[in-house]
Amino acid sequence: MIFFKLKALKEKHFERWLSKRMPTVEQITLNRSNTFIFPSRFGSMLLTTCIVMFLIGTNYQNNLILLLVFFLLSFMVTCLLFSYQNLSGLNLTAVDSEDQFADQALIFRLRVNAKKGDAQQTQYFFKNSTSNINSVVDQQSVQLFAKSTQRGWFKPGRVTVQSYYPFGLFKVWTYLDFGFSCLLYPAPLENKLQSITLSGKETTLGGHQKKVGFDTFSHLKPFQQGESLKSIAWKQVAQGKGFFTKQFEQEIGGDVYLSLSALKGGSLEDKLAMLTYQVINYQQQGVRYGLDLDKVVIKVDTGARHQTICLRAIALYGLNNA
Amino acid sequence: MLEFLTRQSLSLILLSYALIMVLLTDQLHSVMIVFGILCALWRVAVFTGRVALLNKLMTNIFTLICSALVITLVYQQGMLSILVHLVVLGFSLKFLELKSVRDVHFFVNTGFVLVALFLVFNQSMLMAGIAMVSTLLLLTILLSLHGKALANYQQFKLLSKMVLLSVPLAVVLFIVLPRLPSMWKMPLQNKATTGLSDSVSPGSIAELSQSSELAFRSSFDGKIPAAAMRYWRVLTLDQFDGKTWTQSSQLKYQEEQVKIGKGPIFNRGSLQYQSASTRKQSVPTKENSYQIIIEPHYKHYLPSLDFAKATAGRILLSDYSLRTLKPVFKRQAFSIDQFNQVERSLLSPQSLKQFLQLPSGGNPKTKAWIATQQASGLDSYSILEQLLAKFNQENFRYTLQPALLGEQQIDDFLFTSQAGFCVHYASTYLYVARALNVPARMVTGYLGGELDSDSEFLSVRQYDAHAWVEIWKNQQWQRVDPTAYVAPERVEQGIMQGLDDQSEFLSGQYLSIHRWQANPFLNQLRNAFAKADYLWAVWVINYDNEKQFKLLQNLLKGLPWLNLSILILLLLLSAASSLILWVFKPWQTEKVPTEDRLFNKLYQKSTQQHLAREKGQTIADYCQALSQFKIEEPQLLIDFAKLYNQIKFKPSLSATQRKTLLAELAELQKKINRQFRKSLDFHKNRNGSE
Repeated sequence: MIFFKLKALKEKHFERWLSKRMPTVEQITLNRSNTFIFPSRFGSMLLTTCIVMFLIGTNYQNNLILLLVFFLLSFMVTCLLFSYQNLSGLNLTAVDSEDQFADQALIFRLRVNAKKGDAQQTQYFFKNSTSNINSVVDQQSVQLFAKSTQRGWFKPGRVTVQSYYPFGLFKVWTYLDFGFSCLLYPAPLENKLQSITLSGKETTLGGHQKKVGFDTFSHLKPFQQGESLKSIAWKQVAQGKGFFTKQFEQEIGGDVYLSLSALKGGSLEDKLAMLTYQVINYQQQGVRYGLDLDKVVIKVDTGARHQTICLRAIALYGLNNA
Repeated sequence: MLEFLTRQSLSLILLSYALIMVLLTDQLHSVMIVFGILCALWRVAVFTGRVALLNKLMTNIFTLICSALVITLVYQQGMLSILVHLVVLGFSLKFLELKSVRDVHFFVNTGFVLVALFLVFNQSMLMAGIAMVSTLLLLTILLSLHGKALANYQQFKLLSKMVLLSVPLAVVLFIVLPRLPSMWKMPLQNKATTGLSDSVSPGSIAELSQSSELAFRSSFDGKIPAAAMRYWRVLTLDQFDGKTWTQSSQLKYQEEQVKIGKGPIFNRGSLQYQSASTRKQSVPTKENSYQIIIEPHYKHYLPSLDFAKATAGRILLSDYSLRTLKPVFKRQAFSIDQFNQVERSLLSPQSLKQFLQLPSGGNPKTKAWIATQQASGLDSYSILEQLLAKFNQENFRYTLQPALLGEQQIDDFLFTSQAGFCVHYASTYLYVARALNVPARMVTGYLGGELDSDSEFLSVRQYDAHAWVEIWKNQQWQRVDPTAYVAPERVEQGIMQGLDDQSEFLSGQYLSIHRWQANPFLNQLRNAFAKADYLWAVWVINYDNEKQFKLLQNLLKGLPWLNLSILILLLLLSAASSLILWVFKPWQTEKVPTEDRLFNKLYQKSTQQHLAREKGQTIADYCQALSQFKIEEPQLLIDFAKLYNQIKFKPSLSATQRKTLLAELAELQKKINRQFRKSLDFHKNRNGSE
């Protein structure tokens, strides 16, 4: 227990020290003051080997073994310099990230600017890694991946940039704070569209209209040549009633109001997830919709901007850091 | 599964595994070698997808079984052998189960240890070179693992650059770091090598003569003695069973004592036999001193010229042979003083008996010959001279491939075959001497040695092995070399010249460079190589604190204001700093064009007017914006921007035009800065007055 507490305390201290030493930046060029370098696990292993070989060489009074040891040590010094040189001068710029959905791979981008031949074999990942995939690196940019199930503002934290190039003897690394943050919408939870249809006065179209679609089964229709075999009602064929095709339909509404309080069942998070689904769905169907979240009411409208406003309102519902 | 390994890494791993196993072949039990080959085959099979790797449990069980087997196999060969075998086993097993980068790291580390162990046994320049190649190969594995993106030639370039950069620091470390004494006794391996042994029968030295392996090298402080004087004594044999000469139990006891580190020192131990007459003898004086760099032979033998004295770390046996306290298991240097004589002593009755020992019976013809000589009234010494004359005048041949001798060896040789090697002649002479009641013993060692082209050092090879005789005459041992009467060239020039049929020389070794001494080019090459190898032995393998001190002192002589520790520090610092400079090349900073530099100067001043340049704002736009501020002549700024653009973006400008324009631009910049300063002062004054 005490061990974990101490560890946590140490971590906290380290974080504080880091934030003082390397405050949030949008762009950074790696240099002496912001990179760490230390022998890697393998490097320390080799150092131990060197000590062992030094003992062998000394005890056998064997100059060649000593020469080998000195060469390896000297090589490690050279390696130290090359390892540092590989990352120094690497210029990274954070790219602003857009809103994303919780529970999906969250992508944050860095623009990379390095001298030719530098920044070889460099790994990028979030210090507190949340995703299985860390990053995708190409010539000029890095996509960092994170994952979160929580809606609201998400801060992936510091980015670790590290490299073992060229011989794996040294680890050069740094924890950079680009102040990455993005708003996470709840992960859409599929549900039957429930909504309050507005009274005639408030709608523009009034009532329900239906159009051929995919959502719900409506009726059977005699089969016509050219129709998809997938939609044939095979049950009826088996019953000997002849060939029919299944027809589906979906609603195109009049204006709808999505209301948190109207949703039944499930936790608040589930309800918000449902609302997210609905907002996306109505937007796709081209239905005009409004949103009622008790405290926040968004008037009926349509369009990408409207969708963003609604989703943001849902994402931030009940959170004080709005 | 092997995704982390590229084809290139895998081939490198395979190659280095093979190389290191080959390097250690001499040290490994044959079972281990077979095991290694099986490992390599398995690995290849895994790579081609024919078999799978062992799982973890199986690997562990396998490892335990193998370790137990290996220990039982090589248990008798000593700790060092067990160590080598276990490390090789670990190396092989790791090689079998490379599943992650960490496994490769372990593999490479073990590889380095094995290279170091290889160097315990091999120190020649060539072997050191091969060890270096293996080290580089191991490093290349790392590079192929951690620098995957590099093309092959880039990897090669990077590696060679880094190695070259690492060498100076390594050399400085090697030169300046003091050598520590051995901390504890290390296990040694008993190893059969070519060289003299403690028993000699006709033929055994002939075998040695087929080897061109280096026995030792020596350099002299004084004059190098003539070839005929270079009798390198190694051991004496005084027990004969009719076929083989061996050491008597007395000598054997001395050798055993040497092995446990408390040998008898003849100078002291024999005082009790000194008679009144010998006390008056003159004191031995030092004649010469020489260094011997001896090749590892895993024994205590130390060849010496007559006569040597025991000094620290050495033991002198009663027969004047030198022994080392520790077996020579690596190329080692010794310096020895040569004296003109030893303190004489009498033979004890016991040793007298030993030096007259002969097997009873046998060799009737020889005995008959002695009897006839005695009958003609000759004394013992004259008869021995008669024997030498017989060797010289009759049809005796000096050959490395004599006919086999029968049961009556001496008779057979003396009267039938009359063809033989130094041992035959020495053995016969000894037999006759002892039969005549002259105390005698056989000495084996080396005779001669080849001078290098600059006459700096002698190389003595196994084929220089020789056997001669010492007889007790006038209260002292005197050397007689019967071979000299058959083949004087052997003594004066060397074995090849001594042979009646020179094609016998190194007859089994067509490729040996020593066989072709007649070819001047090859000879030169051989000499150059011998010289390099000599320097290598003196300055690298036997570089010690003493040499280090001398070297640094020499350096200090030229620079009297330095002291030793500062010199060492300086050397280390200069090596490290040159490395840093070379890697980072601070002089290669990006060159800022003059026009940009001028603009930066202007910009530094203008920011004091609280107008920063926005992102993406061109210089022209910025100057335009700046000209709105309080400045006497806003036009200057517009001109500056115009001129700047002209210089920057007009490629057709000639060099001289550019120069004049730049001068103009500099003029403008100065003017503007002056005006900025003025307006700034003005503001300040106004603020101050308010």
